[in-house]
Amino acid sequence: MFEDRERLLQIDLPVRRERLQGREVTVACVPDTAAREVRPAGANAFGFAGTTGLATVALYLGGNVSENELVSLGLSRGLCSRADAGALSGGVSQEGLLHLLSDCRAPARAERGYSLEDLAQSVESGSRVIAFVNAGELWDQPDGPSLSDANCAVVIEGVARDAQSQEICGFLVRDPTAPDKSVFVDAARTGRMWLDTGGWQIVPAQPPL
Amino acid sequence: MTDQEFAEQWRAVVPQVTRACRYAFSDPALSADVAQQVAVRAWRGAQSFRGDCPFNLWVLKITRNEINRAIRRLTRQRVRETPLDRLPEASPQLAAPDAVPEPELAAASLPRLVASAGASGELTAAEARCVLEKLERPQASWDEIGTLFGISGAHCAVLHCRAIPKLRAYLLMHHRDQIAPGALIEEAVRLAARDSRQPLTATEEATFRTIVLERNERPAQRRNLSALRAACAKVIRYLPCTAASPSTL
Repeated sequence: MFEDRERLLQIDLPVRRERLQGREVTVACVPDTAAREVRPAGANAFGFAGTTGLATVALYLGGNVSENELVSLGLSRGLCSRADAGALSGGVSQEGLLHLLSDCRAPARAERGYSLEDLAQSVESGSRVIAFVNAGELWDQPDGPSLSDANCAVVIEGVARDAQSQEICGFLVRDPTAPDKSVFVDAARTGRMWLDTGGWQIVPAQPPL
Repeated sequence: MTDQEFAEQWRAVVPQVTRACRYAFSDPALSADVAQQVAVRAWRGAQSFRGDCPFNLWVLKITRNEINRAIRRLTRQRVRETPLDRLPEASPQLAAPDAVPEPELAAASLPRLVASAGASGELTAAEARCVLEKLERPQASWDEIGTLFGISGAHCAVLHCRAIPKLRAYLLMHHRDQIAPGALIEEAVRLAARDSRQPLTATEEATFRTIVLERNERPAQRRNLSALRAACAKVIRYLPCTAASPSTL
C-alpha cells in the first residue's frame, strides 16, 4: 500500500495544470464567486484599521457581505473590539468570527489541523477555509511583532500538488490586505506560518453539496 | 516521521479505520475505497505531521472527513444521476433528462414493506390497506379510496394519517439499511437537531439513537414510541434517498 506516492486523490474541485516555480503542478481551486468588488482590510466607514479578521470573513463569504456590514454587525453583537484609537479597533476573536458566520447563515466550526494534508483536505472538500497564520511569516517580515503566534486570518482557496507525486507544493492564499488575487505560498512557508502557530482553521459546518 | 514509524503506527490504527468505514457504508467496495483514500492522505500528511496529537486520533479525523466527503459525493450522484438499470430498455430516450431525484425506496419495495408492517402488527389491517391503495393510486381522492373499503373519505384520510408515523418508525427500526447507510442517518440526526423550526428534542434524539442507530429494542425503550415517531418524522426529512418516499405515501 505504501510502496509509492503515485496514487491519485479524489478531489471535489475543478483541477487545472500549471507551472509554478519550475514545477508542473495540479491546482485545485474553489471557483471565484465574488458578487461585488473586494476591498483591502480597513475599508469601512468606522475608521477601524484592525479588521483583517472581518475582511477575511468577507472574502470567505465570497463578497456577499462587505467588511462594513460585518463591522456593523460585530459592534451590534458586541463581538468587535472598540478602542479610542481606530487603529486598534475592529479585532474579533476566533469565537466571535464563528458567531458572525453563523449570523451570516454560513455556520462554521473551528478545528485544529495537525499536518498540511488536513488543510488540503478541507479545501479539496470544495469550500474556502479560514486559516489563522503568523503575519510576519506570511509577509516575510522577520521584524514583525511575533513570529510564533497566529495573529492574522487568511482565506485558503486552493491547493497545488505536484503533478506526478501529488505531494503538496503549496496553497493559494487570499490575503485580506491584498485581496485582488490569491498568492501562492509554498508548503514550507505554510508549515511555518500555520502549522507551527497552532494549525487552527475555520471550516464550513456543512460543506456545499 | 520515518516510513518505518508510519508503517508501524498505521498497522495499529487500520482496524479502527476499517471499522469506521464499514459502519458508514453498506457497500464494501465503497468502504474500501474510502479507507484507501484515508491511507493515502495519512501517508502524505505524515511528512508534515508534528505529533501534536496521538497518531490514531489524527487518522480518525481524516477518516471522518473522508467519510463525509464520500457521503456528499453519493448524495450528489443520487440527485443528478439515474442508474441505467432503472430505465426501461424500450424507452432509452428517458436517459436524456437529468437531475430528477429518484425515490430509492418507494417504487419497488415500499408496498412489500407496508405489507410486512401490517403483517407484523405495526399497522392495523385497515391502515395497511389504506396506505397500499394510496401508493398504488396516488392520484385517487380519499373518497374514491374510501369507497373501495366501504368507509368515508375522511375516515380513510385519518387512517392514512395514523399509519404514516408508525410506518416511518417501522422502516427505520427494521429496514434501516434499505433506507440509508448508518453514517447518513447519523448526519440526518445531527441536521435535524439543528433544525431552526422543529429541532429534535433531547428525548427524541436519545430515543432515536437508542432504538434506531444502536438497535436496542428493549421493552423499556419501546415505551417511548411517541418520541420515536416524532424523531423519525424529523430525521427522515434529512435523508436524501428517502425524501421522496414519505411524500408518495
